[in-house]
Amino acid sequence: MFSRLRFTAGLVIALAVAGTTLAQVELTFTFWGGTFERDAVNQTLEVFNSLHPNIHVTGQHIPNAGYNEKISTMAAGGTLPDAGYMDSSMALRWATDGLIKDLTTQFANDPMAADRLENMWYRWDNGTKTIGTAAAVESMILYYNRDLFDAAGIDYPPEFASEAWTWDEFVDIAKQLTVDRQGNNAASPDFDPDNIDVFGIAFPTWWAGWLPFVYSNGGQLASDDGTELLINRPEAVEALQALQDLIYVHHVAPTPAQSQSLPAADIMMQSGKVAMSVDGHWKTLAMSQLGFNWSFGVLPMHQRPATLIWGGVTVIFEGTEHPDEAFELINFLSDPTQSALFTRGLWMPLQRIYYTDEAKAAEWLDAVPGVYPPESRGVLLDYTLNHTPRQPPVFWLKNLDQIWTDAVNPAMSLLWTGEASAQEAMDQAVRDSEGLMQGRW
Amino acid sequence: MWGILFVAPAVLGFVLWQLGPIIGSLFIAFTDWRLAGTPQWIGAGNFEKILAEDRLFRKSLGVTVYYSLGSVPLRMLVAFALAVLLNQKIRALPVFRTIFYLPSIVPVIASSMLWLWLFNPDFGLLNSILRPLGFPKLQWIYASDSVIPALILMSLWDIGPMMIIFLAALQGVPRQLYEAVEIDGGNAWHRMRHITVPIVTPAILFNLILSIIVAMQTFTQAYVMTDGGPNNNSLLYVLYLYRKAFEQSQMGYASALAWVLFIIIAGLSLFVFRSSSRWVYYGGR
Repeated sequence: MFSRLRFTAGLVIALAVAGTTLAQVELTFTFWGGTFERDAVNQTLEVFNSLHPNIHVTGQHIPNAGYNEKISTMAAGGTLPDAGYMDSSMALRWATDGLIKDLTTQFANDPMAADRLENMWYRWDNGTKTIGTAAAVESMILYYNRDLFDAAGIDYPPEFASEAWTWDEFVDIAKQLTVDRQGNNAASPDFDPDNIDVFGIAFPTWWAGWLPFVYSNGGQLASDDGTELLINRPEAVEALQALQDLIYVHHVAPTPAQSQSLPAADIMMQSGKVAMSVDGHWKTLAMSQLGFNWSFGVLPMHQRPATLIWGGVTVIFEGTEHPDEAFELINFLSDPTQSALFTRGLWMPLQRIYYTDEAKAAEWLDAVPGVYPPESRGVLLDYTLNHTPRQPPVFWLKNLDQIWTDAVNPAMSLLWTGEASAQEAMDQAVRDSEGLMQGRW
Repeated sequence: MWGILFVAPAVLGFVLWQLGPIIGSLFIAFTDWRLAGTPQWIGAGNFEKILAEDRLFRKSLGVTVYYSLGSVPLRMLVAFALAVLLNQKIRALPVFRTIFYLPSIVPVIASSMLWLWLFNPDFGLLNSILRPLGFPKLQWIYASDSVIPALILMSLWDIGPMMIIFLAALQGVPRQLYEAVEIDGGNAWHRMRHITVPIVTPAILFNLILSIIVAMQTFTQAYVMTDGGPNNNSLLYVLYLYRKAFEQSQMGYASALAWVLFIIIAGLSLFVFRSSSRWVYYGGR
């Protein structure tokens, strides 16, 4: 009796000791995102913690605008986290500089890794080394406010790429949906472009907002070897000019000044001030919680339907003392069966099977009622898998951040303010990029 | 003994948090340091690249000089004029002094957001005042050629401290000198030109140097409101430096840029000081 008590006591102590030693791995994970994303990621990290008693992850949310600066400062101070989101344009430079772990061996031992979409891999040294894939797939799609379409008696944007609007059809519809304060739409001769109440279309002016249309028109950002920007070629210029014309010729999209002073496009859409908005799939998380009658369709097209797929990469930083636990964490986050970020409309799965197999597709699209609208199968499965450019967007270019800030962004600002035509602006971008193009990773 | 103890926090703070980093940045300026690993010594390489081939260095310096040439004289003039007005014997003087000082205590981020609204071409306050007067739809910070003039106008927002310094100087002007002018038959212009301005020249010198430094180091407005655009036409020097350091992770190059700016500002300050013996009047000499 006595010895049994002693045995039990010993067992309890042993378990307690084991518990504390197991709980000793502390990880820090940095990420960006709006309030919806912040809450969703924090909740997912809590789930990870409860499933892994030996690991404790602390999420550190950094606002989008200051993320790169903050991470850079942490790198300079030697206080990088164990793992975290990483901006796609900086990731490979940091990897070759030795700040991010090469995960080639880890992924070689991971049987699930081979099914990840090819364009999601971040590789360098002729594809022999990798820091992993994007955390998830994102694509650019066309959100819309159903009520505004119903009120104008217009058919919703198509959900299948094969039925994508041509650019002219799209412009006509955007005109009918753009309304001034007197109630005249942009197709009417009495329309007053100085007093627009509802905009037909809003689109982001960073690369994800214009690059799909360049690809749709047969253009591309840069040559495959990364030595030359191609955005001043006729295909690209035509697509960019069409976007500028939405603002200044057709008056269906807000100017940069208007966008800067107005609320974000999703909020504008919720309050009925924007009918359609080009935005990333990740916005589904916010849209589904804003409480209005919305859905999404495929983007309008020039020569062929096209969207982009890419994603910010989740990386393991070189300084971590717990690379195995960190690898477990980033794999957990990217696993649709474990991570709620997929079912709640923030991320799309990396593995091909979630797009081709209906039962697997239902696992993320139908898991949480009210998140994904009925159009999701057309817009998110076929479109994502079959209508994206061969070239993954941007992150494979060397010296990308300098190419953006020094050459492309200034020229783009001329395009969006309407001070230069697309041809003039892009000629300037290509001229200013000379000396900055250093090939590809 | 106690004295040393009491000044210790200030001195230690300066040495540890300012002098240390300043010396550190001088060292880093001679290195290639892209955050990873250790800085590589490259001698004057960064400086050669800045002076010889950096297109955006020249652009940002030009933008900054343009901004400074506009904002420094305008701020001095308006601050001085306000100080003269607030030095009159009128009713509710403390109220006016408070009102004109008040904008200066608004944090610059907050005032930048406010000015974004004022500058909005479609529904901003400035255009809604000007358009009924027959002005065209001005684009303010949203057009390449008007962005710097707009920021210069905005720089009038926080002239409060400068105005207070002028006001203090104006109150130190001896009454009897004005009376002497009146006895000699001089008018208000003569009083201003021959008494007020010469007596307050030390305050003018102080404000001039300070506002040159402030103008050359302007950052927040461009960072918050324009991000250097459109087309880099508001790429102020410090914003360019910031981009190099924190967006492109080129710490060595950014430190070199900082030291080039330091040399330029030091040179300008020295020039103003040197010239001051010709135009600054210290009583008694």
